[in-house]
Amino acid sequence: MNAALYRKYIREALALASPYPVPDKALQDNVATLAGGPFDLSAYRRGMEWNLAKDYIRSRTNEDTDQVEWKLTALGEAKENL
Amino acid sequence: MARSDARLKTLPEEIQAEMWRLRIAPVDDEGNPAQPADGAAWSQERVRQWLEDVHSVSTSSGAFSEWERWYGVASRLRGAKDYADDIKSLLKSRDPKMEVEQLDAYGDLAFRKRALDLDDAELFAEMRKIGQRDRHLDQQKEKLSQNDRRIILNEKKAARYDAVKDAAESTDDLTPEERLEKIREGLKI
Repeated sequence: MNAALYRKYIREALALASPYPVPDKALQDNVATLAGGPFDLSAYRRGMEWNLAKDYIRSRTNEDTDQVEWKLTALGEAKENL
Repeated sequence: MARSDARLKTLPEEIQAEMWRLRIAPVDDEGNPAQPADGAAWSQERVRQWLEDVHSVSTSSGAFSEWERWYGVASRLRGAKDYADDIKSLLKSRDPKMEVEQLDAYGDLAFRKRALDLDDAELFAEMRKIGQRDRHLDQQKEKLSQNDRRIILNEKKAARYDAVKDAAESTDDLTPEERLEKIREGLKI
């Protein structure tokens, strides 16, 4: 699948959950559902890196669960609302 | 007739909810809810035909499949958000003084409960951690307020000391009795 679509699905999943943060695994599962077909982990990771580099998404470690969680940044929200 | 590439995600929510219902729940030939024994969910092709006949929206099989995947994720996450919002409102109404951070922590947990389908053991383990953190915060607040009280007491003591010192070191032309009276005033005895 086109890696650009993974970038979009990542932001789309986070926008649907906003303002709540999405745990790492849930994000991956939702992106896999949105993408359909066989999941391309490498394209997903590149999509995450691309969104991070653009400052569209950010992570934090939840101190109660030690899980990494993701949210859209203000810039990412703006990009999704375009 | 709408364009064939009409974006299904932008259709009114009532239409999307109806499309979803027809695809996942048992319905009769008219699309009315039915018992599982008396009906079945419609095929994608039939729902697309219904969409075209009833709402004049034509769409391809690929676009419809993409919408189905999106709508499934969207409704699950919306359900999780609504659940978390309800929990936060309930907690806020029961304890209006609850800190925003605490409310957010419980809201995030409720969201994860629904979005990740946490089992009860995981849920209670996480609630316990949040509860422990709340108690720790309360203890820290109590410690700070004790420190504040101590500071106020010390400031009062220092003010008294200054008053006594001023009286004792005063260069005013006071008799020993007057000076003693001033010191007593400073000590409030």
